[in-house]
Amino acid sequence: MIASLFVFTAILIFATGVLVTGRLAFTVLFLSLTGVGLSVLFAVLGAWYAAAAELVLGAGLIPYLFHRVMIRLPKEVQEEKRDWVFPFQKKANRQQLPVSLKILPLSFLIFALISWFFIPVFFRSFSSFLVKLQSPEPFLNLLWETKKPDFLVFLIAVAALIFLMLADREETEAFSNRRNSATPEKEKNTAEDNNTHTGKILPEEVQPVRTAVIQPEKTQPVMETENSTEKKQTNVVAETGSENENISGGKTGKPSKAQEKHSQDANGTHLERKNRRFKSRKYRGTKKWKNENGTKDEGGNGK
Amino acid sequence: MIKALSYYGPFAMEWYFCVLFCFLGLYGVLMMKSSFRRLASLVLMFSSMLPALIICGKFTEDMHTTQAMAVSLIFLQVLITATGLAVIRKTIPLKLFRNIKQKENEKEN
Repeated sequence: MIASLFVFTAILIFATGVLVTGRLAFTVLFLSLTGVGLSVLFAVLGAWYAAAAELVLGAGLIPYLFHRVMIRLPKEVQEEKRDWVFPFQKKANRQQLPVSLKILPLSFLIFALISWFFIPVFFRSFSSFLVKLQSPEPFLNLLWETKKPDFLVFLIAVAALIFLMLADREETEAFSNRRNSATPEKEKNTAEDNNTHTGKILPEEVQPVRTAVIQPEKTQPVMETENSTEKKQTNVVAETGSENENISGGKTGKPSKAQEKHSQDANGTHLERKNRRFKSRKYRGTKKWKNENGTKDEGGNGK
Repeated sequence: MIKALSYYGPFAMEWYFCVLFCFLGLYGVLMMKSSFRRLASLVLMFSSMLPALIICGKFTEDMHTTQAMAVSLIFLQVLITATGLAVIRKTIPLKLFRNIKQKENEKEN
């Protein structure tokens, strides 16, 4: 009796640890406790082989497997798993609990009633099932003949329980949907940002970056000197990457003779222009760029 | 009820707890969202059914059959737990890593 009490205390602690605290370390601990307790009970009852198997597998292997999975998980995942707190314990969520979760004690009461009526039926039928294991008598007929009223009460209670579970599930899903209602907008924003980073084809409204390089040509003054025209050519070619590399240097980054000649002008040296272009590329993917897209020019042109 | 308890001798309370914990495990399997919790609830169901089986064998005085069934149940329990944990190990980190990457992108922006 002491051993059996110890077992059921361990199972009770394990169930409480899983369902109320829900922490993985506690789960492993209570799993091994339950295995040890069961093996003690089996040994007391004379089932030595079952006790040995329970000790090796139930108290050893299963907690070990849980432990292996827990320590192999990355730290971020473990931290998220530490938040396995049942909603009753979160003070912030206490006001937002779905209605049916408040009926949970009632459902536990129904559990108790079911098991109370279930004891004699199950006990008698299962023991007679073990005795008459050789005979081909159907199990349900055996169950029906043993105790009809209890069986009917059991069926009604099971139906009520299934109804409660389904209602609770719908309420919980609705509750979680309400709580996560703001997430789709965030996902949408991040998806847009990812598009700009990865260089996927964007809609026409978001694209004017490539045309913005050519815009200064239209706004150039009518009277142009030789220097200014050459400068314009180099900038446009450097940004668009055209094949006319003999004049400008283009993609290779090597300054041509014309660039070197005119490196000291209003836009600064060649290196300064290059740095500005680099910064503008870094700036391209940000939200600020998206907001100011139509108004601000790309770097390299000096506005 | 007291008569029923006394009729089944010293194992009546154990039977009560077995059935109670079996239903508690069933509730966890059906209702929990976390797969770890579901698996732990399944293990709870197995753990509650094992003593019921052994007590039945003690009551019917047929311990050999009962032990064979209990050892088979224990092996089945280990197999199911190992498979479930392997599946969880394969699936859960990927989902959570995706969330972590989204959080990092949000921080950068």
